[in-house]
Formats: sequence, structure tokens, C-alpha cells
Amino acid sequence: MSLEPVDVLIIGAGASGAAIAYSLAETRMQIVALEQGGWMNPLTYPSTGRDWEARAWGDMSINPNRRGLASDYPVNDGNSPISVANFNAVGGSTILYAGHYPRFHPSDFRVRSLDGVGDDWPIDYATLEPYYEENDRITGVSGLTGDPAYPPKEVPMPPVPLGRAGTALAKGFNQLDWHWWPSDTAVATQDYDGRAQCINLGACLSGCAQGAKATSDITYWPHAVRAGVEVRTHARVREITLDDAGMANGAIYYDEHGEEQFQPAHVVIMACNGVGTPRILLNSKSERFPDGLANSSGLVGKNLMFHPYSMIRGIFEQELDGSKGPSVCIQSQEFYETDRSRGFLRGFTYEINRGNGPVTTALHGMLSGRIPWGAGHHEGFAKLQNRVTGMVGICEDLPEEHNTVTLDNDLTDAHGIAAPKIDYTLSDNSLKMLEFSVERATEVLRAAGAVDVYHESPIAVGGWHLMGTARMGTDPRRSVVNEWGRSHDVKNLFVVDGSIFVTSAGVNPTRTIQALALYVADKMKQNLANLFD
Amino acid sequence: MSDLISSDDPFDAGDKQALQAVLAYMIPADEERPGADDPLIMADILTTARSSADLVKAALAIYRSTDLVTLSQTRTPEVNALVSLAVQCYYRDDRVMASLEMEPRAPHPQGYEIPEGDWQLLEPVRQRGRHYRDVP
Repeated sequence: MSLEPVDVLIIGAGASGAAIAYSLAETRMQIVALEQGGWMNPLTYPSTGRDWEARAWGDMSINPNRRGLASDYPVNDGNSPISVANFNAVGGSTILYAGHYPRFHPSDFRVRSLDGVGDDWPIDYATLEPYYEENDRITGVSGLTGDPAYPPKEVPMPPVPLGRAGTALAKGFNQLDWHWWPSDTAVATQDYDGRAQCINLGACLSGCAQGAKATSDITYWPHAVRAGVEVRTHARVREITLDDAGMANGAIYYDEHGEEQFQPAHVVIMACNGVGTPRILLNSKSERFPDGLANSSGLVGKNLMFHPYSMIRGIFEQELDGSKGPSVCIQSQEFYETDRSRGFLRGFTYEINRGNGPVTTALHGMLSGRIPWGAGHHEGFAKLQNRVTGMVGICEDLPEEHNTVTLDNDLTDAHGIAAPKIDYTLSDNSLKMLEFSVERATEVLRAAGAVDVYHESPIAVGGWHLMGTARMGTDPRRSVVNEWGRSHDVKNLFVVDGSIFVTSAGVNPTRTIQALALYVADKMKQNLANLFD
Repeated sequence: MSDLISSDDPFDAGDKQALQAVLAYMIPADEERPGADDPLIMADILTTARSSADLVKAALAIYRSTDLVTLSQTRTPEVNALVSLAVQCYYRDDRVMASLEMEPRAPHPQGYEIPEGDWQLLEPVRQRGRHYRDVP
């Protein structure tokens, strides 16, 4: 069934889809966003119930294969040491992110020039800076000005509390004379734009019932919807179609009743993350593009980057925060910029996380052997309860063409659409960086007073950041989209999610994804008269 | 629990007896709190376990073919699933939470207080100065 044509069709209503919809809404074009999930009801988030920790491993798990909701699609990540994490709903994976919200550094856009690896971006920090600022204002960022690891930047709200865990680790960093700073967070520490301030629920990773965490369903989308954008939920896109002239002319999707629909459009924008976007493009085969849409470079689905994560935890004698408080707290970028004497190139951020609730404490303790079965159980638990804190090392992943998203030959979703298949290996550079991050974190935890330290590296379930699979660039042979997100091959097809990243930096990507989406929107508006030239 | 009918119950009397023995050994009662084999906690575990009954039964099969000590030292997905079930139900029981000096409630809507901390701790970081690279 063919519907009435729209001016702009956005595929995906997550972090980037929301931002570009918001920005384009002022053009008064008719804009529709297709989202395979639905609107979330914060009153059903886990923190409203006694089973809040358990649900983080069930229906609110970060792993789509474990979650298995109707809105999800399966992912074959059996050939990857890191599994994909995502969420499918209006708001996308921001529903489950921690809200750790750093910017890229200026050096992250010049990786090839500075360090001889990866590639330079076709844009720089200064290009994105005004869009970072606009995004910070709409999202509502908390933090503290003056971080010496960044060029000067303003943040609208004061930082999240240090708490006991942050205080202990800050002292550890100071003892070693290492950098640390309160994290920029997408957590409102004051009432902000209709959202209530954080009340330290501690369940950020499974949805914020308070509405303090800036998920794009409650930041950008309300504004965009009020401005006339339609969000069509439970709409799973199968493929983007082309007209005879080789221009995108819409998308075929399955509606909430499972009926096939065709939504015609004059412009199509992909905003489905670094796995979902190449999946749909590769599934959009035609005579003109037999290897997938917009894929004359052969790079759609290649150069997949996660951030390999290390997790390092210390056990302390004094009581800390446990699960109370936003999980984000402070960060350290002592080892962010390249120092070749370390044995690897590029660097990483330490994101300090506070602690765990009783269920997670008991489970980790028992599975690691620190809490025994039997008579010593309660004593073992008491030694860990509210006494564990630490960090994750977010390591920069360099682009490698052999790390790919392809279409699985056998696995499909509920609508028969081929599932994505992940083939990914950790590079020698990443392995060295991970090892270094564990060693240095152990030092700082000991300096902070930890009596025991343990780690997991890489975090096997930690594929939160999906990047690089439709990279931007000025050379159509070496990139999928141009320097403002437009496909080299199809002049009315845009990509705005993490797929367009050239390199990954060593920070969480959402703030940059959203700034890029605002930047692409601005470029589209500036070029409306000759958008397809 | 109240909406269950017996024919839906994947666990037979033998399973429940074995599970009770395992739970009593895994997290025993003491003078301050019940054990995981407490009737209320075990009922919660049995209800919660319905979606992963096969894993639980597989873990119980290991117990039946070995003993409790061996089971406690086994690290398989089945045994890990059983441990996960036990702790997620045990550590949300009101009596257990009270013994841990935790309020028996959901985090929302009351939330929690945590100390702001002393931002003067940043002074040494400020004094070190700029910490990012120039770019060409």
C-alpha cells in the first residue's frame, strides 16, 4: 500500500533521528519518522518496582538477543568478542545509556595527521562546536566549566554529586597527580525544560523514571512533535527504494499490524545506528546497487568500531554509595592523547561508576567466588555491600575494514528481514590499550584505598557504541557520505547516526552523534535550493 | 503468583525438593535473616524461574548427579542462572533488605540522598593546566 508522499522520511527515532527532526521542523516541510519500537512509559521503568535490578537482565537488558522484545531484531554476534548493545524505541539506545556525555577532543578529528593511523575527518572540532552548544542546550548537560582536558566550553547545569565513591577516587587520582574532572552528563541536576531533577535513583541504565536523564524521547521529540513532525511507531523498515533516476523515493516497512506499507518521500535520512543503518542499506539491493544502496565504495557495513571497554573495580573497607546516585560521576583523561612510549596509539577515558545494588553485588560476588555458598555467604556479602566502586576504560577503536556488519544468511527478524551479522576482532593496538587501562586503573584504585581489585577486559556485553559503517569523507571511493552526511551515490539520501564516524575517539559518542545530526540538518537547510546538486 | 494454575507449573515435587535443598545450602538462614529456602522467597524464585525453567532443571540435574559442594563449585550457564535467580529474589525480600539496613522499597519515586562532596579536591587538577593537544 502506498501512502501520501512526505518531504522528509527519517528512519529511526533515537538520538540522531530526534535531533535532525527537531532541527528540520522549522522548515515546515512534512516530516515523518519511522520507528520500529514504541513510546516508552517511564512509569513502567524498573526503578518503579522492587525487581529493578533483575529487569536490567530481562526485558530492559542492553542485549537485544536476551531482551527479545517484539520491537527488537536479532543480531548474530557470535564472531565477535563484544556483543551489540542497543534499544529499540522512540529515544533509541538513549533509553538505556548511562548519560555519560563527553565531547570529542580537537585531536579526534585529525587522527591520521597526528598519529598516522585511521583517517582525518572532513570536518573539525570548530565546525561542530556551535552544534555541540545547541545540543547541550536542548539536551540539558550537567558538568563544571574549566576542564583542562578540553577547550573552554559552557555547561548549563552544575555537576552530579561526587558522593562517597567519587570522593574516594578523586583522592586516588590526586595522589598520583593524574587528571580527573566531574563528567559532563546528560542528567539534569536541576529542573530543566519540563524535566525533573535527578533524585539519585541509581537505575540509569534501565530507563530513568524521574525523567532526569536526557533520553531523546523527552528532550528533542516533544519539541519536534509540537512543531509538526509525525513519529510513526512499530514501523519496521525493510528497504529504501529508488526511482528510475537513481534517487531514493521512499521506504518499504511493516506497520504495527505486520502489513507491508510504502512511504514515498523526497528525502530519506538514515538514523538507525552503526548496525541498523548498514543493515537496511545492504538489504536495499537494486540493479543500480546490487551490493546494497549507496555502496559503490564497498564500504557500507565496513570499518565497524565499538569502543573496547575494560572494567576495573576496587573493594574498599569504608562504605561508599552502593547503587545510589547517577551511575556516572567523574572521569579521567590522563591517558587520552597519544603517548607512543605506552606501546599503543591513541588513548582512552576512564568513566567512573559508583557502585551496585544488592542483587548485582551478590551475583558478581558469587560468580567470582568472593561470596561463597553456605555459612560464609552473609559475611562475604557484607564485605562487598556498598564497598565496591571503580571505572570503565573507554578505549578508542581504530577503523579496520575487516570489522564488518553484513546480512546473515539464515537469521531473520519477525518480519523475515535478514538479521545483521557482526564479524569483529580486537586489534593489537586495542589489546595493548585495554591492558594498560587495567594496570593504571589498578594503581589508582589502590591509591584510593582499595584493598582488592578485579577486572573484566574487554567487557563482553559492552558493544554500546556502534560506529563507522557508513563513514563520511570527501572521496567517494573511500567514504559512503560526504562531509555533511549526504550519500555520494544517492543525492537525496542522508545518514546521521554513528555510522558516519570516521574514527571513534575514546569517549562515549552520543553527544557527537547529536551534534553531527544538527550540523547535517543545518547544511540541508542552507542548501535547500540545490540540495540534490 | 496468584494467577498461576498448577498445570502451568514446570516444576514437580522432586524439583522443588531438590531446589529447596540447594537454596538452603547456597544462602542459609542465620539469626538476622531468613535463608533462600524460606517459603516466601522460594515461592518468588519458583515464580520467577518459570521463564528459565529448563536452565533451573539442568542445574538441579547437576546437583542430583553430584552433590552440593560440587554444584557450588560449578560454573556453567545453568548453575549461573540458578544463582542469578536465587539472589535476585533473595535480595529483594523485605526481611533481608531490613537486615541490610535498606529500605524495602523501589528507588522511585522517593529517590535517595548522597553527599555532594568537596569540589576543592579539583584544585591540583586546575593547577596542572591544559591537558589536550593542539591540532594542525
